[in-house]
Amino acid sequence: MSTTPPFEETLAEGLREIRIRQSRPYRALRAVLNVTSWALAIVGMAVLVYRLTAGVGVTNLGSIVPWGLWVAFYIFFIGLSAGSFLLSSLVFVFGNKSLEPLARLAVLQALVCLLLGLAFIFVDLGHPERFLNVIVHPQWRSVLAWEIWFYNAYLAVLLVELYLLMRCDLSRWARVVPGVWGRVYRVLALGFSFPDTNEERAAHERTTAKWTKLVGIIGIPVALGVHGGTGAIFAVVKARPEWYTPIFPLVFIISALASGGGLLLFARVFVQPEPERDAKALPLVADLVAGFLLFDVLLLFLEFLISIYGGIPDHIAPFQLMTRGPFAWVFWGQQILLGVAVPMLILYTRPGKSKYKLEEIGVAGLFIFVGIFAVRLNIVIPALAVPVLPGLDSTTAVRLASLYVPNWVEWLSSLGLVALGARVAYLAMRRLPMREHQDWPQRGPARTPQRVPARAPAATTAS
Amino acid sequence: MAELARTGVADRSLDQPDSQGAMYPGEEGDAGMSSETEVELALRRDASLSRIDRREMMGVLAKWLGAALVGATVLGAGEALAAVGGQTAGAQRKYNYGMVIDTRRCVGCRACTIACKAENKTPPGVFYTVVIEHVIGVDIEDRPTYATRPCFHCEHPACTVVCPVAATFKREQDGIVVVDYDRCIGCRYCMTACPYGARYFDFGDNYPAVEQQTPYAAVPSPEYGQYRAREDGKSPIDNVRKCTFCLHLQDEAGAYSRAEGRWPACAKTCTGHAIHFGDLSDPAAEASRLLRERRAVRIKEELGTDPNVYYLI
Repeated sequence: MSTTPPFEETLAEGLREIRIRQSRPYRALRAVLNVTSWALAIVGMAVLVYRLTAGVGVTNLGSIVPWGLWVAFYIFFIGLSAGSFLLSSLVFVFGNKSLEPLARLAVLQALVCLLLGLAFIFVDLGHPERFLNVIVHPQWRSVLAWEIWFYNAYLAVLLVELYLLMRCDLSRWARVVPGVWGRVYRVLALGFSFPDTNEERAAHERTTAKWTKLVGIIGIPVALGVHGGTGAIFAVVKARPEWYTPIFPLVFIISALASGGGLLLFARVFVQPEPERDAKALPLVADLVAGFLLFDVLLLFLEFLISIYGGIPDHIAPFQLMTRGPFAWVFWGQQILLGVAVPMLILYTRPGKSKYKLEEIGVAGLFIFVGIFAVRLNIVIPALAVPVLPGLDSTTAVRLASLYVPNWVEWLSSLGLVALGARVAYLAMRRLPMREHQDWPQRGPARTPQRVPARAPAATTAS
Repeated sequence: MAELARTGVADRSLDQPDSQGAMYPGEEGDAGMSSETEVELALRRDASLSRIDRREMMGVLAKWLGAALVGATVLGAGEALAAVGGQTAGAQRKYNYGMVIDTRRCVGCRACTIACKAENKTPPGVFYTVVIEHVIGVDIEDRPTYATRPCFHCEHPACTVVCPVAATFKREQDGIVVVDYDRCIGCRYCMTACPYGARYFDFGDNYPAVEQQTPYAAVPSPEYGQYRAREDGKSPIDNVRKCTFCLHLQDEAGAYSRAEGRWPACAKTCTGHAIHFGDLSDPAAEASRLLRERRAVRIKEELGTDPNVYYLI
């Protein structure tokens, strides 16, 4: 931990946050987000039930483009998860103390994103009721079969890591919190009892540090296997020249680190309360994320360069589709402009200012992970939209179209799952000890002093 | 693994029995006798080894056993992997079905596509064979070159190795690549992996005759001899489907008969006699003869899939 800021500064920032939270635009935005996320979650679940009963036929997928929006979301969330976890390993394994306050949030995010990714691939299956076949009848030459076990191991790593990080606070809360939540904390603490004396506490913290490090060390290869392996699912497909490259698993890992970090910045600044407590750690993460983002752009550049230089028609075709096809705006607009240029400008062109502003960091994080979603779309769809033999596709038969546009079923179910994941993460952030030695959160607004002026600073209205 | 190790050791010892005998003179006593290994028994059965004194052989064995075990493990693992990939499946293969498609005889009438649909009752959007133009155009000034594209039933299929549940595999007896509809989870990985686009997903769409429950709708598809009724949510809906070389027309021994009409529908119907189906391991088969006499190419051979469908040019 670095030196504590002077009391006046802390007070000023605390008052500023309270002012923001009481402001009308903030409360309006909050209400809108609450209503839309719940509405999306409910509608999305209804659409999912429809999809699961009616079959994959309710989507716009076809035999030319058999993987679409759901698979893009699947690799997006697996990437977010692996990226967040790898960032948290900087703390637990490599002992980076300055990022420590963000570590729990990173692990929680990794857990929720992993579950979302798995939900997306489950929904994508033609016969989801048979998903256990991947465990009962594994075919070990399939990367996908290996990935299932990587996901299982990774899930275990995340659960253990999160428990180790929270058990102390959970058992402390279990003692003081009345009612249902007290019982929930007691159950979650799994019988762990908060140490009473200071010596015991110190000993406990040493043990926890040792164990989180061990789990983190195990977790690093597992997380690399999780997302590098997800990249390998694509990289081993020799029928698709865009995918069939050793650089692909690496692309997955680097873009995972960028998107995971981006989401972490966004969640810490805009979702978890009191971001200014981590005013030291957040700029560090922002720099890291920017570095990974630029590295990702470099890899993309290499892919383009080599395919264009080689001039093999099947290899160039997906890249042409990406940059000049009907969805070129996804590449130029979302992936390059919003996903790279804008966050870089936000983070690194601040004329006359020397200090990062947290809101800027949060917005940049948002742009980065939304941009990486375009990367995921451009991984999955253009490579498939080029028929493996000329003339296999058709402009008249819907299921043989090389132009794939997700339909309402795919969009609503996806947004519903994302909204549900966001609600779960938000609940966990509010109700679980996501920061070290955090006090049990009583209802926030009731505690705030009433005399604080309700005027919002201009910078936050945009957020 | 014991079996593999045994073979490994036997092979090693056979290499140079005489020189080994000279290099390792026997020691006193008969240490190995009490515990005759399976390895030893296997070696004794081999007449060519009878000249070697047992004690010498034990010495040789002791030296080589470790190395051979390691070697056999490595080889065995490789072999096991290769076997999964179908590389050694040819050993116990009874038939090796394939097609030889004459692009000079194909007129592009697409009767094969229709005959296949009639035979297998595939739904809209599912085609086990389609006619492609210009895939193997020799000269740009030629008239359009047509060729039908069934599943190539590759020797080393790119589709089967990616299946996470082994629902799609290459049959050992005749090399036909099939899909187990009850195992398939519908992940569509194989569709992305096939370099020839031979796989189609059954999205549950139906032709009007089925939609309107005409008598045609009551006739099940004979695929795989399973005669499945087409019902919402039931396989093969939401499964991946592909050409089976009409294997439901095989007799119990796995043979087709052109004279009896038990012949893949596309080859049977081809108006220009362009599709020649047959057992490529049978030199007397018409397909084999054409391969010998004419110039044949295979598509995307550089991918190492080793297709069993050839195109005559």
